[in-house]
Amino acid sequence: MRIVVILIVCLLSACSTVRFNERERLLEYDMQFDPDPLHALIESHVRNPRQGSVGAFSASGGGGCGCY
Amino acid sequence: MLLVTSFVKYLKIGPPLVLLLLSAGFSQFAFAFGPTTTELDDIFAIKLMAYQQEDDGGKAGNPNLDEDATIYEGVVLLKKHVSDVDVMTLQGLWDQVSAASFDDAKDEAETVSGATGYNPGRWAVDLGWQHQFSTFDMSLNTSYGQEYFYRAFNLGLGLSTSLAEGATQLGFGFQGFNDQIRVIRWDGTREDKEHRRTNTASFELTQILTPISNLNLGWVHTDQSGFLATPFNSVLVAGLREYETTPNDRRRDALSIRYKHAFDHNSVQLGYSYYWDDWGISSSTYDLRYYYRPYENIQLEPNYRFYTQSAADFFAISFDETQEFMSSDSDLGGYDGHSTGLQLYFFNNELLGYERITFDLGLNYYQRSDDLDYYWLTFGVSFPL
Repeated sequence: MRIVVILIVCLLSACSTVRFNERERLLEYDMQFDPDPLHALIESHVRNPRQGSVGAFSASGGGGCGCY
Repeated sequence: MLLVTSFVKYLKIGPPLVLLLLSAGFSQFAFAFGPTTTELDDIFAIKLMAYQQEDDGGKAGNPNLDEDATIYEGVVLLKKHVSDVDVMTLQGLWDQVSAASFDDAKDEAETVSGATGYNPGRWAVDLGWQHQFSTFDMSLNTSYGQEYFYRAFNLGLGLSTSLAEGATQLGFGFQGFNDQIRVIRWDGTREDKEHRRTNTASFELTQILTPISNLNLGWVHTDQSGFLATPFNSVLVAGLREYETTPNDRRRDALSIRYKHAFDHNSVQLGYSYYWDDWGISSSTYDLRYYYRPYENIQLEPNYRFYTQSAADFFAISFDETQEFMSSDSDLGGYDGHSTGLQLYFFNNELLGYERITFDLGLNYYQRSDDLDYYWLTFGVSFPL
């Protein structure tokens, strides 16, 4: 766990130098996390009720579905 | 649905190649990139899904139960700016579930969540509002949904802000659900209604790393209380069927990390998530996605996911004697799962006077180590308003 935290801090410390005019590629569709909102919703509806866990790559924590 | 799954099985090449072949027919459409981030804020979208679950003739998952199931789902999303700083969101959902175990409910327990059989199905409506303040955004949402054995009411709050000239985005969310459960047992016994409360807090950080890479971190914490068992589930105790029983509280946590890296017009996403709860379940999810743009108006998204979980402390296929907590639901058992799929997007089409329409098609396959197999096929249409 400590290694993960150190790795994340190191990664984040190198981020502040990306200027606006260098972010063009990051604005494209494929560089967004979950750009298709209904795709992410359908995925969670398929996966979450059929496994014991929730919350992988989404803010969904269960509830509202009659399932665990 | 049966035709689709049989076709994919017959080919033995999986969904990716099937959709690659389909994509050839769409490559003649007009040239343009996908929706911009601004267009995603004012959008109408609809998605349809067909899902098939097969349990190898009753032997897979829980061997005491037939877990075949078919689900059809439709979701509609309308998201629109109503002023320069206000966005309204309306989302509707409808499900129709048919499960082999429903027909056998008098003899064998139901495990497919919310199987609707000949009932009208499951539906839900979610209404949201987002306001942009000078330094942060705030969103509120409420939803109501129901199926034959439950009613669910939800309230949610979200806060988000940008730091370091937009290089860092922070988000905090809260969702509270109050589900009212009709306790209809597998043998037809009806008991008093029960409640299930689910409160979830989430934190998300998205960070630009370089001009071609970014990172997303997430943490989700959930507290559940009340009637947490599935009312129509049963367990075998010394050969006799009894009701499933679970603790009345559950604390759940999940940590996720995703990394994106661009290669010219293509990109890759790597993800890992770790989950744990106080029922004894822990799980790991490894996710790999590649975004390939063979033409400027087409995006292919092949993906692979590996999932592994340990069993709940009170899970067993059968029990020798009655215990305080007992479940034989295979979703609470220990298993590994491999899933693969392909999502195909066709951007910037014109139809009936509307422009910038995106069509998408997806095919996915999931195989669990307990021999349960799932297939799901999706079709979507969206366009900016």
